[in-house]
Order: sequence, then C-alpha cells, then structure tokens
Amino acid sequence: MWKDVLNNSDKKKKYINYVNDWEQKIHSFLEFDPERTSAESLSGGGRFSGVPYAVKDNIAVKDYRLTCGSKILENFVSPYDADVIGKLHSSGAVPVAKCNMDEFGMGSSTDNSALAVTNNPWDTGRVSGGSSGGAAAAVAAGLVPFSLGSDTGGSVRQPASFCGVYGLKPTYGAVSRYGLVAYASSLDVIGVLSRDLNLLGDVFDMIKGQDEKDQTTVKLDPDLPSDLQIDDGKPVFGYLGGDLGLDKSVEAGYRNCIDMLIKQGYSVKEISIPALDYVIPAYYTIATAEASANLARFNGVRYGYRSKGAETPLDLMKKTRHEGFGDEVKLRILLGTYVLRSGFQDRYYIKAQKIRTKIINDLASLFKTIELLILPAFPTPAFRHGEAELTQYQQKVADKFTATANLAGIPALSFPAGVYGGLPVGLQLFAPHSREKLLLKGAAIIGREIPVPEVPGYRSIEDICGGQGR
Amino acid sequence: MQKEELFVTASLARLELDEKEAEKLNEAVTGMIEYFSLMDKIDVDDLPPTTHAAAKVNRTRKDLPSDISLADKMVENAPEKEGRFITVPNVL
Repeated sequence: MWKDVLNNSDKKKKYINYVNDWEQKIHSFLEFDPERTSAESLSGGGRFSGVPYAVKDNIAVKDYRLTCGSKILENFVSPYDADVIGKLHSSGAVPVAKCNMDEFGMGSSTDNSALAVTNNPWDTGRVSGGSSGGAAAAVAAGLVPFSLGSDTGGSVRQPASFCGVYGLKPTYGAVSRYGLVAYASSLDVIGVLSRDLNLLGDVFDMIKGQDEKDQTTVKLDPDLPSDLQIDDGKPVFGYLGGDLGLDKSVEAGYRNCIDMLIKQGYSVKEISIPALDYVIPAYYTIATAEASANLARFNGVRYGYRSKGAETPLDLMKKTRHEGFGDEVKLRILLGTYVLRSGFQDRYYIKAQKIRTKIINDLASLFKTIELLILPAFPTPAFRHGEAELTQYQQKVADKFTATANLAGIPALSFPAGVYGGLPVGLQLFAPHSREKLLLKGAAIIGREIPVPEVPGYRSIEDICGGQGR
Repeated sequence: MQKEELFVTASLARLELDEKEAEKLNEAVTGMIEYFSLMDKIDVDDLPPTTHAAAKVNRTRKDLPSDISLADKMVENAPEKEGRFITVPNVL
C-alpha cells in the first residue's frame, strides 16, 4: 500500500531502491527526496495520509527548487507552496520529487529541458512527451501513484498518451494557479496524471476549488443528474471523422476504441470541428503573446541567473536572458513580442481571439448532440529523441487535437488505448465545461474493455515492498 | 522577416541575440509567422474576441494585512545584494 511506504524504514528502503533503478534509465526527476517534507508534519488522518507524489517543476513546493527546466531558475528555491500543494498537504499526501519538463512548459518532448534528458520507460531511445514528460514517465514506471502537471496546449495529455497513463486537464479555472509559474495565463491549468482513474478523480476533487489568490478560479457547477446516471444510461459519444493524418498505430487504436463502443451498444456519432485547422495558428499566437509578457520577469534582477559583467541594468537584462533561456523559449518570446507589436495586433492577436470564439461556439453546438467527444491525443506515439522523426515545427502543428480544449477552456482527459508495436497509444475525451465527472465516467466505460498497460519492469507498490530487499 | 525586424523585436523583448542564433531563430520565427497567416483565410469578423476562457465577473479579495511574510526568503533568492538591498549596475 502506498500509505505505508514512507513510515516504514524497510519498505522505504525498498521503494527508494526501486525508484533509483528506474531513474538510472529514465531520469524523470530533477529532485527526489522522500525526507524533505516530513510526513509527520502533515495532517495525520487525511485521505492520502503518507502517500507520496511527484510535482512538475513549474509548481511551487516549499524548500524544493522551482527550475521550470530552465537554466535561468536552476538554483531558485521556492519560499512557499502552491495552492494545490497546500490542499494536498491537508490530505496527508507527501511531495517527494520534482519532475523534469520542457523549459517553461514549451515543448512536446521534454528535450527542451536545460537540466536533464528524460527517456520514455517503454523505450529509452524515445521521448516521454511534453511538457510534463517527467511527471508522465514517473507515473508509468510506478515511481509514484500520481503526479501533478500543467497543461497549456496539451502538456499533461500528450505525455500521458506517450507513456500509457491517464492525464486530466481540468476545466480552465477549476484549479488554482497560485504557485504555478505562468506560461500563457488564459490557457494554463494544473492537471493530474495517474495509472489509476479513481485515484486521479480523487486527487482532482482534492485540488479543485475557488482560491482567493487566483481570481480566475471558478466554482464548478454541482454534478448534473446525467453525470450520475451513466452506469445505467448510456452516454452519447461523438468522434472526429475524416482523414486526421494519424500514424497507423494511433489510427488503429482510435478505430479499435470506436468499434468497441459501437459493439458495446453505445451511440457513436461522427462529427467534425469546422475550425480545427485554425486551432494551431490561433493557439500559438495567443500562447506566445501571453508568454512574452509572463516571461518578462526573468531578467536577472530580483532572482535567478544573472549575467556577469553587464554595465547597465538594461544590458544586464538582455545578457541574462540571452544566456539563461534556451532556443525554444527565445523563439516563443520573439513570436509573442512580434504579434503584439503595434500595427500587427489586429492581424494576429485579435484575429486569434476571434478564432477562439469560433472554436468555443463550434464545441458548444457539438455538445448539443453528443455528451462526450473522442479524438486522438497526438498523431503519433512517442517519437525518438532529437528532431529526426518530428521537427520542432511538426511537433507544434501536431498539438491541434489537444490545444482545442485549452482554447475552449473545457475539461479533457487522455486515456490509454492499447499498445501497438511496443508503444502505448493514447486518445482523448472532451466534455462540456465543468463536466469532469462525466469525463471520468466515459473513461471508466472505455477502461473496462481497454485496460491500462503495464510497462515492462513495472512493479506495483505491494510487490516492491513485499519482495525481498537488497 | 528581415533580419533588422528580428533585432528590433528582440530589443523590445529585452533579449540579446548573437549572429549565429539570429540566423537560426529568424528562420524559425519567419516560418511560424507565415503559418499564422493561415488565419487570414477564415472569416470571423462578426465574432467578438475571447480574451479569457472563463471571464464572467471580476472577483476581488479584501486588501487585508497578513502575518505571513516571505520577504526575507525572497531576498535570499536575489543574485546580488548588499544587506537587504538588491543591487544592479549603475543606472546613471
């Protein structure tokens, strides 16, 4: 049981050995320290008392570094806890690790981290996805029962699909962003990754809710009657039709899931999202514009890396940012600054925001005829390190299935949909605004027929702690 | 995009670029800007822009003092300081 791991020295030793064995192969953690947050200091009788978990390194955990995978924050130690961490503290859960990620959440592979290279547990020559790649790899390998990530354009769901686990992006505003380092504030949301759908739902229940320190947090609508009747009634599924340009293993997983639902007697309708082709230009316009403003604070003055030998404050800022940021971050800052330059705003930023309205309207009318939408998470399974299989540009274009939910602010969940050629394939479900319960029930229906895969070398915590120590 | 434009943009972003990375970034930025022009093809003139996914009302909190002070720990994270002052190169 995960609950006993940290308060029994024999079990803890076995657990740490298991983590270290895997970490030599996958490097999912930037820091791992089961002692740092003492379990005794947390509420004793909470629901997750003593349960360890891992946190993406852009979410603040007191006394842990908060690097965002960047050289510019490499030695920054967080003086406080994010709201989600405070909520989990009160449940008794213990943060034990910070997870590697693409620098500031910008990427689809975790290869854009300036600090470590994370490998996919299914094939160490491949990426674990991004930007929450460390959080997904750790959960898939069984190093923690759940982890927290952040999702701006698919950064929880895409790595979850690459590693064969569940990944939830909640409704925008359902979870406080206090203590999450901002990338694109109108899109960012903290999410949960786990192999266990029930646990994922419980963690979401624990971290959601209005927070006075984040004025964009919303109170979710109470569960609607239809959410609670799924076990008896059958939800109407929609799926995205047409040629979606999928890799053949993802296509096979997608077809298999739809066919399974039809065979099980569910009503499944083919649909389309008319503005889907405009999602990526609109998403990258909005995300980079917001990023260029949010990342202005990293200038070497008050915290983080500082360039040596600058002669004026302006020079200090320019040199610090030149030396401290990686290529992808520089690209996005430049893009965002460009689209906000005077004279260009109508053509790019305002246009993108109008397209965002169109996407919201498209989805709202879809959800009048269906309850849940199935679509791919990413067109390919986990790709190889480097750009040989997918260039950075192709990786961006491939975000269209995930970024749609961020533009619309609706909840989305990626779920494992089988293993093809030794690699997991993941798909997604979308639900209307604040209908996370419905989303989880949909995934549970599918999970009964298509279970979560086990990566070779995975051991359950009972097996790890019950087995012979070394 | 003209290289000159890239350097103007970089300066606005408080970002120094060396010649080699400017070459590489110019290609990547130009490629993305060209891709963004795909947005010219959709007619959404009649729609209002969405500035926020969940903007309903402006929610504020009371401006109350708190006894939790992070100031000392914040100052500890400063790259260069004299006592409790954060230092920067001479402004004038």
